[in-house]
Order: sequence, then structure tokens, then C-alpha cells
Amino acid sequence: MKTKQEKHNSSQIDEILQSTSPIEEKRIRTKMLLAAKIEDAMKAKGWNRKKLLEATGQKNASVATKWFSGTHNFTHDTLFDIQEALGIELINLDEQDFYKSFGAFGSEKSAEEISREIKESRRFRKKDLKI
Amino acid sequence: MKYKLVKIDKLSGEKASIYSAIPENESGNFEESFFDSFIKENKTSLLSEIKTLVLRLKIIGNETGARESYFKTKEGAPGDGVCALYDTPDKKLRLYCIRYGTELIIIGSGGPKNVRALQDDEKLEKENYILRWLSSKIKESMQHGELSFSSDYMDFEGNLIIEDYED
Repeated sequence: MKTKQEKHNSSQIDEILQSTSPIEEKRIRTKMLLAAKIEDAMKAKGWNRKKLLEATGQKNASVATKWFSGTHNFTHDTLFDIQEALGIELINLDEQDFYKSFGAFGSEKSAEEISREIKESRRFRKKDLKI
Repeated sequence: MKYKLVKIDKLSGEKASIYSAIPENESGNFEESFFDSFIKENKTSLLSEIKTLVLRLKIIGNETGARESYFKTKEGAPGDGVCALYDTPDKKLRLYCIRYGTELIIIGSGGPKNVRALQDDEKLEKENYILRWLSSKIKESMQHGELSFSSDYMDFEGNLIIEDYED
């Protein structure tokens, strides 16, 4: 006997999803993707967990379980050690991304060029204002 | 007692299908899934953890798949796929699941874990054993040809009503 595949719509789940903010979702997504990136890079290198822990100076085997769980809050130093050991980029200090991260803009132009362009775009009256 | 396997549309995606099971109620209807009950029981006192779990499932379904390392495995009998999902290891809430590779999971129920051993918490033990039972019944159904995986292992096909013939 074949039962028709049912897609279950849940008001409970809808309510929870509607109450979560994009920032909350991004925070969780970033942790999960970071864990996946590290684990995949380890496997691509042909390493097991023991080898990765050795390469990063960790002695406790349970540390790797935490790293790959998708819930871990890494320190900068740990991310640095992992990226150096695996030859991948986990800490991105690209200038453009750095400026954007706190609301500034990054430009390829020098300050002098930008200043000249701003001045040229203004239309000044030929006659000076007399105050 | 009958249970219907249902796919949770809002959490499933191209990387994994998220199923739950709905027990038949006294009226013979299938209404509230295990996961719905889990949310209802815990959203008042542990809302932050509930939100995290729902979002983790959504990301599993749509972006990462059900990677083994995301789950605490070996929470059931050997080889039955019963595992647990949680916010962070120091948080209380445990959600029991059955994991079938990275493409399909069945989410059950669970609760706050305030004890060291499963056997010390009646509620958690009950929810865990329901999933162990469900896993064994699904395996039986597959062996009898009543239930199978789709060709891409993303869905169940066949008789989605799992029955306890011992009633």
C-alpha cells in the first residue's frame, strides 16, 4: 500500500521562524559553514582528527568534536592555527571586506582623486556670495 | 498505535529532507507531530534554544545536509541511527533524531537534560525509546518491501504509516 507523500505545515515551526531575525540565522549559519569548511579541508588533505589536533597543538581529542559540531565559538588564535595547519583561509582581512564590516566604504582610488572628483562634481556660482 | 511519517516543508531543502512522525490520536486522526509537541513543550522556558534548533534544521535542509558531526551519535541501540541535536553542549535541550545519511533525518522529540544518564530522566528516556522503536519498525517495513528510499535517498516512498502490530 502506498501512502501519498504529505508535506507537513506546522504553525509551531512557522511561528518560530517568523520570530527569528536575519542576524540570528546568519550567526548560526556561519558557525555551521565554518565547521563544515574545516572538516572538509581536513579530509581533502587526507588527515584524520588526530593529525589535525597534532598540527594545531591540541592534546584533547574531544576538542575536534566541538570544532566540527557547528556550534563552537572559536577564538581567533584557534582559527589562525587551523588555517595555517590546513592551508585554508578562515580569517579574511581583505581591505574591502574590512571597511565594509563597520559601515565604511573601501575604494581603489586615492584620497586626492576622490577629493578632486567631488570638487569637479559641484557646481559653484561664479559670483562669490557676499556675506 | 500508528505513526505517519511526514516531510516538514519549511525545513527541508535541496541538501536534506527533514521528516517527523505524527502519532494517531484517539479520534483516529494524525494531527500533531513529535516535533510540534517538542516546540510547544519547550518554547516558553527555552525559546532561545528552540530557535537555534529550528534554524540549524533549516540550514541542514537547505545548505549543509545532515553532516554526522552536527549530531551527537550513538544515542540509541547500535546501528539504529538514533542521535541527538542540541544548541551547544552546555545547553539543556536535547532533540532526538534518526539520521539516514546526510540526506534524510526524522526528528522526534526530547527535552531538557538535567541528568548525567538517560535512564535517570523518565521523559527523555521515553522520547529516546520511541525513536528507537520507530527506527526498528522502519527497518522492518523496508525489509518487507512496504517502505523504501527514493532513488536520491532524499525521501521515503511507499507505506508511510508505521504500525505497531503488537497492539
